[in-house]
Amino acid sequence: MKNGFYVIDADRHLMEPADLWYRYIDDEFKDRAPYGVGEFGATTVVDGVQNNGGTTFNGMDRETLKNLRNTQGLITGFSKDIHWRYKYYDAIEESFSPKSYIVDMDKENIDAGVLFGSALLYFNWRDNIDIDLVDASCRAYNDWLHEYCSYAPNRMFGIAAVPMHDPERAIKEAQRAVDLGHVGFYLRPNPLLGKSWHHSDYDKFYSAVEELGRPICFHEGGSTNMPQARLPYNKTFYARHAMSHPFEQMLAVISMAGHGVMEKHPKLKVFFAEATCGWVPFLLERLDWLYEHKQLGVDVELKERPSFYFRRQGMVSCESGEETLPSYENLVGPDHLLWASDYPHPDQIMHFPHSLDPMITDESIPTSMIEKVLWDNPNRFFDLDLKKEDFAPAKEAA
Amino acid sequence: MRDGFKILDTERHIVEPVDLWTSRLSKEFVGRAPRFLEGSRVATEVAGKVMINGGEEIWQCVEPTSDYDHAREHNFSADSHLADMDREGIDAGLLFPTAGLYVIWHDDLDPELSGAICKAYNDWLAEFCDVDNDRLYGVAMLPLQDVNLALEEVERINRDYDFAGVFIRPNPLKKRQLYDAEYSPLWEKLSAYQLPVCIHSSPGSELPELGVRDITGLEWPDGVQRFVGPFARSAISFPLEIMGSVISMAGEEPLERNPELKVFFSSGGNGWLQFWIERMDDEWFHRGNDAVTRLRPGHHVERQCLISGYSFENVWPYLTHEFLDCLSWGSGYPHPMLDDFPNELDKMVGRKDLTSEQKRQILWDNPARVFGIE
Repeated sequence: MKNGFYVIDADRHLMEPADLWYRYIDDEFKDRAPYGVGEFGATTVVDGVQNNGGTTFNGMDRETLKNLRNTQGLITGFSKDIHWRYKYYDAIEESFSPKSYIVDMDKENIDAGVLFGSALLYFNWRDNIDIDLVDASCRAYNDWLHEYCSYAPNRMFGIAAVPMHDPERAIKEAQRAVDLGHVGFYLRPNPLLGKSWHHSDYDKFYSAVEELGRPICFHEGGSTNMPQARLPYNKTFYARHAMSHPFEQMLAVISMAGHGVMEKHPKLKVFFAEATCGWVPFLLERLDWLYEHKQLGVDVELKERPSFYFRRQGMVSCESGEETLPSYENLVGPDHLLWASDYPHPDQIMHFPHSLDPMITDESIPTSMIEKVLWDNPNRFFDLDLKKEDFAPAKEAA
Repeated sequence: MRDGFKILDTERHIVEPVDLWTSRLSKEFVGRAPRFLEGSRVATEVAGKVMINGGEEIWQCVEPTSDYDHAREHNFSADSHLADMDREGIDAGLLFPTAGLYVIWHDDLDPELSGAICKAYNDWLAEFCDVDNDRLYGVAMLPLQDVNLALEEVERINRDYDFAGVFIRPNPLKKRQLYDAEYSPLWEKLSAYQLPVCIHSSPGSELPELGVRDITGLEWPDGVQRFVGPFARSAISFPLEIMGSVISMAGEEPLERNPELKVFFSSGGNGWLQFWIERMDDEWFHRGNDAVTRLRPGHHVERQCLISGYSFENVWPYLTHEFLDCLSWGSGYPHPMLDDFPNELDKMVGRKDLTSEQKRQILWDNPARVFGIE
């Protein structure tokens, strides 16, 4: 709790140990299991092929990758950044153990968090990959995640990996993940196996997830090797990252709300995470306008306008201090928004450990909306069933 | 004039006569001149290639609707265009192509042929605008397959004609982005001649299409087609491709290196503007170690860019605090983006969430300043 606001952070990240899969995967897959590059890298090599961030580490085996970890200059991703190592020293010292994770949540006065991974964004997202291996890797991840969250089960809620290469197996793993206590299923918005997310192959998966009552969570990750909505041939990572998150989510909204998935699966909840929220008003407005257009909307077969389905089933997250929050409040509404710190990824690194402050002191948004965004909406959407009184400071002191 | 406001419509289209190229190309090129597909004013075939990606449904994204049958009867002549402007209450208009949105935009088009197509188009467009030079402002085409040929055409049109700017598609052509060094001489010349770059998108060109046919996956060198129909492709190609071109121009070197260059982003509406400036600037701040600009992308947009928005958009009042000088209004005439002809302006001039002064700036002052229209 901070300034009287109870807080559920809807999009935090874990930093998976590089040998997570090696340790948790079934024996028969150990030699081909995903392995992280660098101490805190989200880059993984799976079955000898680098899943994201290019091809530099192709063909490197586990031993080679392990030894790279200590080589200065070969640490991948944002852990190269001195500011990152400066800010998150406690967690780095403890290799992001559950205990250190809770310490950093406490520094920010965050009561509970929904936990995405970092390698989660990549380790099973490649087309040409053995489906048995993907399946086993997801199981390993979800088992590890369960153990991790067990450290503070009323404060840490995991988002599970599911093997979407085979929807039948994804259904099985989704069911198992819910039994383990995970609260949602991670999907990349990028097309897997060349298929968009409104492809009918996924229908049975969506039906099963509806029954499970947990959301699917689309979340981009900038360094994927998959097809990505960004400038081709672009040279600067900042431009690529600026585009890929919101652009991929816009395409996912078009698939889910515009191409009938949400209509067909009315109980399916969909989170479009970490892409900020400012694009939602104009996208929904345009989709509705096109839906009603006699010439441009000829191929849409929906009973209601696309925005109806987004409002019924969709959710996005914002960061602190987004200038477009007033337009979001007025044009979309306060019930369809979550707040996210993105800890410990760089998006709000300059605010840490005060990343809540711009949100809870923003005078352009009504207090009632802040309360919804920080607590009511995520509590309802992820079906967490948390009670504010369990997080009341007095009780903690007692 | 509409309700006392002078109106400069920044997004209008001419509709090319079907014999434009067959009647104007020289002997050398006429055998390969663009020919219109049966029943379309959009889709052409050039030297054996159909210059549009997707079937008739996709042409329909820019095909004039039955609302303009009266203009069709006059073969979309300058006189019929002016008569429609009168009905709409529009004083002056910026004129983009229709078939020209597609006709040269192919990686494999012979650059010389592309040059001939552009020249013929520009000559014809100049004649079209000559019918009333105070009201019709043409945007020229350039054969970007070869930057040197494009530079020659800029020289020629600057010498012979009085166009308002040059039209460029945002999609990569021949694997070049707008920020590629190869285009640098072009931006320099356009800046020197005070010719604004007018970027305009539409679904269905033969070039890579952002979010629709992505060519970025390692395992997909020929691209993945994610969406096929006009609904999704209109939703994506108009605004998203334009946003991509904004970061190309403002987030990379072209605008910073050419501080006098003006860039006009049309066809994408303006709903993305506040969001996209904030997003680009934040990412530049957080991850900009590899960025090449000295200043944040938004600074260049605010200083050098004009964006045209549509009547149906509801973010207008959220843009006036920071971006009022960058705003203009466009109708899309006679394409499907204009859906309430001839009354589209009513929604705009009738807005209660904009002041009269703001409307004056949006509807006339801003675009008149950028395009040098008195």
